[in-house]
Amino acid sequence: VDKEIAAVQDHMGVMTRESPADQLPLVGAGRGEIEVVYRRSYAAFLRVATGILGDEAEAADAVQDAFASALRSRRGFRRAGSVDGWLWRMVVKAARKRRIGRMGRPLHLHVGEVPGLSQSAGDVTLRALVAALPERQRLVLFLRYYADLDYRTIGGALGIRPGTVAATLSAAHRTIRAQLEETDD
Amino acid sequence: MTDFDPVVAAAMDRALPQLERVDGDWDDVLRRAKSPAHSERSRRRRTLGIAVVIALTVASAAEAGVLGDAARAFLDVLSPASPPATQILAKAGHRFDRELRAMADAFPSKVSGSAPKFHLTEARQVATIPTERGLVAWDAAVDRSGRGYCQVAVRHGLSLGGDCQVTDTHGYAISLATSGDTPGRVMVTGLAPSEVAIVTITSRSEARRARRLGDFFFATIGSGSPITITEASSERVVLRRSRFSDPVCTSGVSRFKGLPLLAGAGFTYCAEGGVIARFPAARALAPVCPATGCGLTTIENNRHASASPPAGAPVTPIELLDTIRTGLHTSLIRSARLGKPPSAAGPGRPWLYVGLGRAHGASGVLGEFYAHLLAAAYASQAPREQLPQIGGLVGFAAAAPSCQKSPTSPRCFAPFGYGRIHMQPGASIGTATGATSLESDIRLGLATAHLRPVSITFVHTVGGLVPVVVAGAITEEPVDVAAEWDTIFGSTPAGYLEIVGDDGRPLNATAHVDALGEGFSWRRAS
Repeated sequence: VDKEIAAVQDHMGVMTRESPADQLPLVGAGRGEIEVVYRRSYAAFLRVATGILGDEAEAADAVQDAFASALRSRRGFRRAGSVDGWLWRMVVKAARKRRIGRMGRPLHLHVGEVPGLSQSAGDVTLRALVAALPERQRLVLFLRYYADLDYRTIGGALGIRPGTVAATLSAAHRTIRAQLEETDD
Repeated sequence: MTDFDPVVAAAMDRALPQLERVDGDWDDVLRRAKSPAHSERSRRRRTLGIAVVIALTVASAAEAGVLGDAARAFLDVLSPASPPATQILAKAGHRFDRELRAMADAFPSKVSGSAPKFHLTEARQVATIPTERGLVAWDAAVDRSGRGYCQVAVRHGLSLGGDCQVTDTHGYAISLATSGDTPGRVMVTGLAPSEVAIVTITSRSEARRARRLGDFFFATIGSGSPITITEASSERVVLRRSRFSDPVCTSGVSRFKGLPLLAGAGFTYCAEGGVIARFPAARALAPVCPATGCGLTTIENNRHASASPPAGAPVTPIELLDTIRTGLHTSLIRSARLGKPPSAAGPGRPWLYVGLGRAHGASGVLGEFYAHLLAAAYASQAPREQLPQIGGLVGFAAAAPSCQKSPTSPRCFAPFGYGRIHMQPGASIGTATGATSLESDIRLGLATAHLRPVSITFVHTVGGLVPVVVAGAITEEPVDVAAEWDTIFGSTPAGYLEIVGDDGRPLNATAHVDALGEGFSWRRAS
């Protein structure tokens, strides 16, 4: 019975306890929690990873690796932020590592090209604009528009404060809008 | 929201349209989590690691013949069949092999062709001898970094892969937790009932910066009462508790995952869920494990096991050590560690003790311990009827030049290995006349070398009489034992010479054992 209780608690993200008297701070993420986020937001994870890597197949592999890593280290999650933010951080980290490893040089982000999809000249221009942004601005853009995350979650994923997220996003907006308006003109 | 720019959003969406409804493969995530080797990157890393190890093995096999085991050990770490690999484990395992490799390089260079090689497996066996004093063992599942890894030697918490220091609730050291080379295994020694200990585990990173992995609390309580072992993270967050409701699982000596645990009368072991705990035994104790309890099939009560090697059958050194260890009593091990030096043990015992190599004035804590352990084990524990079958043991330990500042560091003392000297059944023991003649020659040699005899003992082996000589230095001049060897022992094929100072502490030692059973020859350069 104890093993079954422990398994359930582990699944739900509660560490094993002996009795109600042993009320301890919640630590760790449950496997069930992680699975819920995975199933709910897999498409968003894949889209952001694809944006970072520019390759959907490799992005899918990165997402799988990130969640596998999250499962292995779930007991170390301190719940200082949301599980979503923590998992987003894992995915972004995994994608960036792959990007760096593949290119053999520091991260150089692109708005990905989806094979078979016709791209207009404007899209190409936007890719160039996004690629020219600083790394943090690019990541914030991806997480904001491709994953539709709020500031807090983006901050959790990138390890920065929500206020910094807002400022970074605003700067990215200004840059891109200005460039797009120049292109339209 | 002001943070959402529709123009940018539309452009971003055009650049990378929303993907069609896609579902991830959760089962694949679970497989990868269980075995990191599933990922392509991990596979590449493993392949590279294996290639490096194979290259190193091939390159050095002819030179020393020891790295093959290192490679195998490393491959074990990389093996998919091993427990889920963690970063800590891999690094520690690799480091452990490197350390042992360095130890092997410090061994005597003069090794005969038929000499048994110093294998890592043997070293590990030796290194786990202190562990065998362990009365309690459990898996140390470490928070965040996977499983802990510890390799701790005597007295200092310093280890090859990690530190395990056991303290009581007041912070005073009780004992060392020793894990041998078994990843995730921590053992605690010297705990009495009702004592509480804290095992602090740290790992050593590549940058040699100690990293604290966690604290593990341990407590023992009286016989017949339940016991709880609590594992906690470094933040004192309880990770797991294991409760033993049935304290009586097995009595006598237990074996856990292939590693024998020393015990004796007075203690009972109980294993449950991968944890072995010690309980004070009562006279009426008997194995009363419930059908669902004590669920480790690897536990054996080796009171019924064969305590002696089969007569005439070849026995490896490891097997011999296992035989001795399984026959040891815990209290005798303690007395061995703190007892008389082996050179002062009584004559007439047909045993050959472990020699302690010394260099640069360092004291051989670890080697001394092994020497005492084996000496006491053999001299005190081996049944009389077994003595003709076991001729003796030979072992060495060496001190590295870098150990002058911290001579008690276990890094300074590498067990050279050990070998068994076979005694043929029915072989004749050396005669008193032969011993007397040889002793006269040795005394003459000592005088020639300006040494005074402290004790001269002979060990009877199939190869003849083996003189064990402890001599005192007449002057404070350093004695080159290797140079004086021929003067003292002449053509005697085997012997052991130890030079002691006025305080009886050894100053130098050397040994030359040859043509004895397995015919190995080690001689340490002074």
